[in-house]
Amino acid sequence: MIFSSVTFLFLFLPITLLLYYLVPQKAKNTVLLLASLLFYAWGEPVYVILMLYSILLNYGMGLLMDRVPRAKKEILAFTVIINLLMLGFFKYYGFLVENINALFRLNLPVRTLALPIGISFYTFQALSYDIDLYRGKFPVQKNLIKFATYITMFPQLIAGPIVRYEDVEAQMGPRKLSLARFGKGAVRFIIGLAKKVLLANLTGAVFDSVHASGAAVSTLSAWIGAVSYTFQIYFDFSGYSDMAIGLGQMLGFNFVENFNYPYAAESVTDFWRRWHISLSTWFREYVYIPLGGNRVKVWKHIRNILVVWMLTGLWHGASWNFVLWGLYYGILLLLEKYVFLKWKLPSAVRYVFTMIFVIIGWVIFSADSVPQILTALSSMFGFAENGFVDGTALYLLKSNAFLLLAAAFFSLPLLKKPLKRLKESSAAAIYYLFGFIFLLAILSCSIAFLVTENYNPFLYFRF
Amino acid sequence: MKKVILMEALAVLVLAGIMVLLLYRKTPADVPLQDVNLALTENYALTGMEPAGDMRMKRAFSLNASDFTEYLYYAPDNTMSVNEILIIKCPDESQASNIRSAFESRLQVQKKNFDGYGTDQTALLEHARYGSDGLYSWFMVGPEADSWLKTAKAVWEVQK
Repeated sequence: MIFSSVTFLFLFLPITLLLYYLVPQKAKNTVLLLASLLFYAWGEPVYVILMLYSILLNYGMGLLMDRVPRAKKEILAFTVIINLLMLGFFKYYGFLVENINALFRLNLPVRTLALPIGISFYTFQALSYDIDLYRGKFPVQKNLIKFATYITMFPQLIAGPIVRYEDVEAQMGPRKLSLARFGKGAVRFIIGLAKKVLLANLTGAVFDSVHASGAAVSTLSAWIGAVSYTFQIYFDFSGYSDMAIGLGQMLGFNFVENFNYPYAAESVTDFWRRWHISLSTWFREYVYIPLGGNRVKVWKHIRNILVVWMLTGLWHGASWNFVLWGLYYGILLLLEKYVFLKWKLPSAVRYVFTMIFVIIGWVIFSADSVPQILTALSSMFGFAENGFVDGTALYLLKSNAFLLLAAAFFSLPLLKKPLKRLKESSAAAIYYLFGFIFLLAILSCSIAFLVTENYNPFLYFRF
Repeated sequence: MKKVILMEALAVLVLAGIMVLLLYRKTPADVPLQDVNLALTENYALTGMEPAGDMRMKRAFSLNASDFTEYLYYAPDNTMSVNEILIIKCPDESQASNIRSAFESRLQVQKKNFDGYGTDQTALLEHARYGSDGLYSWFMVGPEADSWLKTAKAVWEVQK
């Protein structure tokens, strides 16, 4: 089930919230767990088995670590291996066999397995529990319902943010619920829904029309396509995160923030501090720092960065373009650290360069194959089949100029400070009045779009 | 320590079982919809409908062709016909079941259109076949909907 569907908005969510608020505090986790399992099973019932296995494995191994402390290290190693095996088998098996076949000219049978939705997210959550439990950051969770609720929580189950157990441990018990908190969550949810339905879907349609033309595009069209995808992926994913965080607040949870205006970044390093924060944090905590981080010799630091970024790329999918995308960022971060940051460039220049690198990054990310990356990049940099500008490009620009400007406006924190000032001033009533009208308007528009668009998949569901 | 080894062995065994179960469960094969089309047109007259494209699918189902790997659509060929076949192949299995709401909306609209005067059409709509399996989702309305579905499934359903 997806958040931006009529079934979720008008059936699943109201019923779940009603039940959740009606039952006593003790039963809230059970209601949330059952709702989450139903939410997950809606898409692909058979993979609930795999998720239940993951719950039992990590819960059981956690208890075992607690009961047999002398074997803690071995138990952790075993649990990590099994979790990675599970992820690897369902996500990378086909990719691995295809590459072995290509490399050794073999003909091993490739069975294309459907990717269990959300497996990358819930496996990483489970791993964070195992590793931090081993590190002694919190006591073992003995209550199976609480542990299963942590793994399956529907708001962030299938596309994050990746919630570390450490961050929600205290919230797994009785949670504070209030009207103010519920309202805050609802506002966040509406903003996320509007980002997805009004901005991501519409910019996605522009990207699709350019993408469908293949190589027969002009340079301007190629840039319009790339910029549209840049906005689509941001509003799609950050919209989902907003909805997840909002739903979490409505249910009494405080999830970590996943985005902080990444397109306002003035360096690639800064971009990654603002984009998919929960994933970057995960890799930093559980891979980069254990490898030695940056407190090692230069060559080891280079190795650490490349390893982490190759894994980050691979995490996104079993395809070479994701590996390339990861390595691209690894190399950019290294260049920034050891070369570019020594140059004192004006802020505007740094911003423009960062955005160009980010847009190129999304071209690599969105491609279906390596040759397609080369075609798209060569079109963007003056080697387009249809010249620099063609009729299609001008039409696309004219018909989508307002949309792209609106997307740029809302992707930057231009209103953040003025709104904060207004909220804290004596004219706060205006803020609340216009805020209410604005929310009502975007909610109405989103619902109107949802009624006519029956299918709204999120990009990050694939990962 | 024995307890640890026992638990670990159990975990491995259960995972192996799940993997085998999921790997060898009956799932549809990834076949081109051209094959399905061929099977349908060779076996049935497919009257009351005509091949249709992106725009008509969008109008009838509010679905964008670009969201899917491929689709096969026969739309009603006149205003009094409800005969329709739509088969969609999704990029991955999890997406297929999300199309269900589009089918339900289409069915409701069509029922409303013919409610009260088109008894034959309403009867056909009452027996509409829609659902999803693996990568495929289907919506079929017509006197032979059951047979069409059987034929289509025979093309993509294989026992692994």
